[in-house]
Amino acid sequence: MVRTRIEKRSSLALVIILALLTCLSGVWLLLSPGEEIKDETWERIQQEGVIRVGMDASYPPFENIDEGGNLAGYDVDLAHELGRRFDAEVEFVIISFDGLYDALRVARIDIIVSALPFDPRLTEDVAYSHPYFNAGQVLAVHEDEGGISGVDNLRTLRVGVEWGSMGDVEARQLLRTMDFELYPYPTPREALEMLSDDEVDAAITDVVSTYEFIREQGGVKIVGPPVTDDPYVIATRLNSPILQQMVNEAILELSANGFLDQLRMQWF
Amino acid sequence: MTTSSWKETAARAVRALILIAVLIVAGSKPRPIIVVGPPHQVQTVNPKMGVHTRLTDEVEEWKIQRTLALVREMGAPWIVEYFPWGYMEPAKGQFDWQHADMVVDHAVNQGLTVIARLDFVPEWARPKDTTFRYLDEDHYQDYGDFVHAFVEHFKGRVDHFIIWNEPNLSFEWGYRPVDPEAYTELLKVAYRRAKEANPDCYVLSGGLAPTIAREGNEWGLSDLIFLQRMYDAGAKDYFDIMAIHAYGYVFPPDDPPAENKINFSRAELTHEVMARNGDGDKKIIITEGGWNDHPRWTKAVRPYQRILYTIHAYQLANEWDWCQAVVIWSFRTPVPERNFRDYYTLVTSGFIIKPIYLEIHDYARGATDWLVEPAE
Repeated sequence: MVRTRIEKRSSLALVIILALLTCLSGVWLLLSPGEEIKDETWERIQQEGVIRVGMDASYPPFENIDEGGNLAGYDVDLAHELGRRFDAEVEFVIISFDGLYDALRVARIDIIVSALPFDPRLTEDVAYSHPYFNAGQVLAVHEDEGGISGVDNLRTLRVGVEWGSMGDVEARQLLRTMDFELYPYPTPREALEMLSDDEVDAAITDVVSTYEFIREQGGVKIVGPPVTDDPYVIATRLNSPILQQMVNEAILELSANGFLDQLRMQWF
Repeated sequence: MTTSSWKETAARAVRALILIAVLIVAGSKPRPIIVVGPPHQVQTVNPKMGVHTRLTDEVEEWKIQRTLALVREMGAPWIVEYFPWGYMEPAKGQFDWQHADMVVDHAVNQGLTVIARLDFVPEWARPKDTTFRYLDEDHYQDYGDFVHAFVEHFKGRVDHFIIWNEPNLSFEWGYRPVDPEAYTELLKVAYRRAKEANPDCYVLSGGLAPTIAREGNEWGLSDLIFLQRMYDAGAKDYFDIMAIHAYGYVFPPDDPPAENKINFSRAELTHEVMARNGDGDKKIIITEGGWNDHPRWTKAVRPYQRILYTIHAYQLANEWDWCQAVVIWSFRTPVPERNFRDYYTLVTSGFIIKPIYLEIHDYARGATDWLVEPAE
């Protein structure tokens, strides 16, 4: 198709007009004052020097009351580190898990740090941070094992699980597509002991129990990606954008500088 | 008429007929994909077995039917289902029973007895920035109107109604200090309105949460103290059945009860309070209860213990004359809760059967070797 000179001129004019409009919009945006981000929660934390952390202290090793009656655990230390970064003293508010979200909603607390799993249904009600821990099920093998790198390699092997656990449920699901022998034990520790003693070839157990076993007894290792995902996050109110950003930045830094790994090794 | 024009006319006629057929098909009411089917009956050795079904937010009908069929196949004749007021009366006097009808019809078809829990305050009946558990006395009559409408609508299909949930916990009372006297007033309003709609219905007091919190505690009040104050406020003639929650936490079901301890047999203490108030002949239904097997929660047990304790609790209820049913929490949730509550369920959101379901199923079928011992 041959374009006429008039059509070419019209197209050129349109491009020039659009370019001018774009430039003008940019200048207008640059010169106009930006909308100030308001975060009353963050302002109060800065003014009073206190951040109120909601927590259900009944999930060791993440949060619990120790024998001395003190709050202790992975999340307690994490909350103190956040407080240190925010120049704020941490005030823990102990609430049962069922009441944590309501407490955040009615501003009895500023933040939830409580082995809180990400819940996609609530993303319009609260703001979630980046995950800081994955508490799902993992595949463990003997520390000398080199041939098993994931659940796809379990065919014909002996697999230990905690009877009735989610690891057991996952193993029964895998049994629908491959053959292996399933050995249920009363506790994850017993399943891992059997693994350590070569009575089974692999075990599907929760990650915290597995880390604890590795630290206390050894002889096994975790291989492959997690069998299930259960990410823990921190929740803030939707109208706390600055606090949310500060928490996210802190988690990324604490992950990069090894602080979160240290916490894990300290607590399990 | 020429041959070509005749062909054109015939082609137009065929196109018109096809169009008419398409319009007829498009305009006709589609056949339902899910049908209720012939009625079923629950087969069980223990007629006191029950489970909370939690189908409130389940939108797909086949999942509702599948859930209730699995409950029936497991051998539990009782279910508690939550019917949120705010879902069914989005504006004053405007009722939408569609979803509730679907759940109830499938439950009745499976031969299950439905206990309906009624709470969840709609936005129009509470101040702004309050939780859906907040109801002030100015709106008690609105709640009573809803109870009347619900009981009337489901007459003949649902006969048991729980008035509110855990009113002895602050957060279940809209984050206000708990108030047994105010709750009793709410119970009276609801009782009168329910009986107006169906004199033969059973009104259950709002399942009290087991707690040892003392007077003045910010978060709640002991269920035993709360109940006594309910009696003092004149509640006795305003409920037919006592609803309580009986969680075992880390204790086996036959662990002895004590006022300062939360365990399954704490239910016996509730019955003692009722007897002291001349109400001992009234039945109790445990409308929530059971054990949790989260790997780290301090109030959880190991999964194998949960299996043993749950079945033992069902057996124990058979020995309690005053206990009409034990409805454990909970069968399944529409989507994973992604927290410790997932470890109360018997079936995952994706309908994966947990080992505990299989063991309860075998027990209810009378199997004597229902327990599969774990490998040593």
